[in-house]
Amino acid sequence: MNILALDTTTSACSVAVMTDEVMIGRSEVMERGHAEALLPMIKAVLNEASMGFPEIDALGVTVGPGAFTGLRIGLAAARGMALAAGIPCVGVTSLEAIAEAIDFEKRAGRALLVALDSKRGDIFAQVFAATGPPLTAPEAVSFDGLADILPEQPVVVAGTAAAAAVECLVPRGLDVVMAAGCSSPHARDVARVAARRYIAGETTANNPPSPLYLRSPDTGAPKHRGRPKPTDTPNSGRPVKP
Amino acid sequence: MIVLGIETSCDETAAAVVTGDRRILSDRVLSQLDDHRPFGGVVPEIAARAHLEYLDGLIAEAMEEAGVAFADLDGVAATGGPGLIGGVIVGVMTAKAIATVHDLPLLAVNHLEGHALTARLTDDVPFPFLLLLVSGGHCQLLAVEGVGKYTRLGTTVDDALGEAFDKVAKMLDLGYPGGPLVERAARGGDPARFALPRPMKGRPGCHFSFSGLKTAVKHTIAALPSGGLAATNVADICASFQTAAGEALMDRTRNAIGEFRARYPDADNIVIAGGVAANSTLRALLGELAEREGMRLTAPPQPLCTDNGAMIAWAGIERLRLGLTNPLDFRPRPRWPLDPDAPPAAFAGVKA
Repeated sequence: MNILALDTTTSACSVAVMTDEVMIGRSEVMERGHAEALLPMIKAVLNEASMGFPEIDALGVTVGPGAFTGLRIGLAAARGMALAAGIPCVGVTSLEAIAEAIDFEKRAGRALLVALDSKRGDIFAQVFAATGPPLTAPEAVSFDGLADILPEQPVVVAGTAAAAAVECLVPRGLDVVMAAGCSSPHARDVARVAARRYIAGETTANNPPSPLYLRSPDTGAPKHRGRPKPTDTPNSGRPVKP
Repeated sequence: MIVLGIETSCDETAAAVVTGDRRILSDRVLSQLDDHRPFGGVVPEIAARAHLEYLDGLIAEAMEEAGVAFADLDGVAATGGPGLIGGVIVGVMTAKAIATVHDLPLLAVNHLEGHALTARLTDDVPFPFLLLLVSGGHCQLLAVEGVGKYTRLGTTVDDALGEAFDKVAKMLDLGYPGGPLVERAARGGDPARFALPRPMKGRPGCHFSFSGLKTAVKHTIAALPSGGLAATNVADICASFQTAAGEALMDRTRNAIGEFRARYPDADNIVIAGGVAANSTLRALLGELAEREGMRLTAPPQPLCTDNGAMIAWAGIERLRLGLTNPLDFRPRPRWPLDPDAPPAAFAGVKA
């Protein structure tokens, strides 16, 4: 079974091909430029794996949470490839992908908090048990509210907001440490989760994954519905007939 | 030659399949009007989310209706800008993905070039021709000399005409989008009741300005003697506004015909494109002007005036024929003028 996976939800762009024998992955740190980098990176990784789309059984993609534009870049590309190749596409959250990288051994008996910088003053967070499964649903929480979602046990933190989360939680007397070397999701981990779901039959070809924004769009409802304010005084456009 | 065209630069998600011999095999447009109506205008984040939700399904429908498989395509075209960048990115990434899977050329099309070349898809209009491009986001007069070759004769220094229509509709509580509603309300109205300005009329050059006209409408509404937004007042304001806008538009276009003729004495085609080209009153005015000036007017059918995928597919075909393809690292462009060498118009933005 061969899986092509990708992630563009945070300040990195990564692509991986997972076969029964090997895992080939690439990742580049970038604040912007995912839309330019992604498809050439996919071609490069497929080349390295000596593989083309006919050999790919399924796609894996992160659906968020993360940067809105970033997650749309990955999802639009993955859904486009799924449609054009006629293969299923499996959605994986960015939080799950990071949790996948912090395995049982690395958690060392601690619960896992995955914390991603939302770039809006709060964080996208989810808590996982030391043994693996999630304890909370993905949500946007303030730094002040972070302690409320943690279980009463030692915690290890991973994700782009891990350092900030630790800095916020330690002064409260909580037993919190940072996980080593895992900040952004990596397509390798997306591929692993996607492969399990694909094998479990949790996907179909005509059921593309939906984005996980965790936040309503900014709409900026218009004032006065765009009509002149009652206080506006006329100074031109005089009516010529009463 | 068969090309898939994808359009996602504003509030319509669109996909179409077009052939090199000018046949439109399918042309699907999904309007997001209902999503944006509560806000009285297009909300970029809502638009971007909707494009992602609907685009792949719409492409599947367009391909099925055309009876074409992805492997049968000769290229994949998508609007690469200018426009709301969140939507443009969704369309470009989807096009890149399809092109990558089937090893097809990618064609990143300038949305305005899509509008500009539509008359060649519908009526095979030869180069060069004079183009009046009027929509909610753009208002320009261009000499179209060839694919990718444009000389801007005039542009708006503030609002686009479609934008002015939308804002007048909003002030009058007519709803959204405003263009068709203002045109309908203007029927039976007295176009001479309110003395509104004809911006730029009589001045040399071909630039437009509609901001002052919009403000004049605002003050006219605020000064309504009695009855406020009663039906007759609304009809008279709409008729007065449309007449003023039309006069300004024709004055500028007449100057542009002069400038175009000076460059190309033998050319006699004028084309109107963009969403505002659907306004039958303005179309009729332009028809009269063209006749007086000895020009031949081509106005594409209404569904091809507003945003659509067929125009992007066709522009893609024209570009593919000339080998003007794009690499997979193409960067979606929020701003993309057709004539990058045009001197900046005073006060005008540079988005197009």
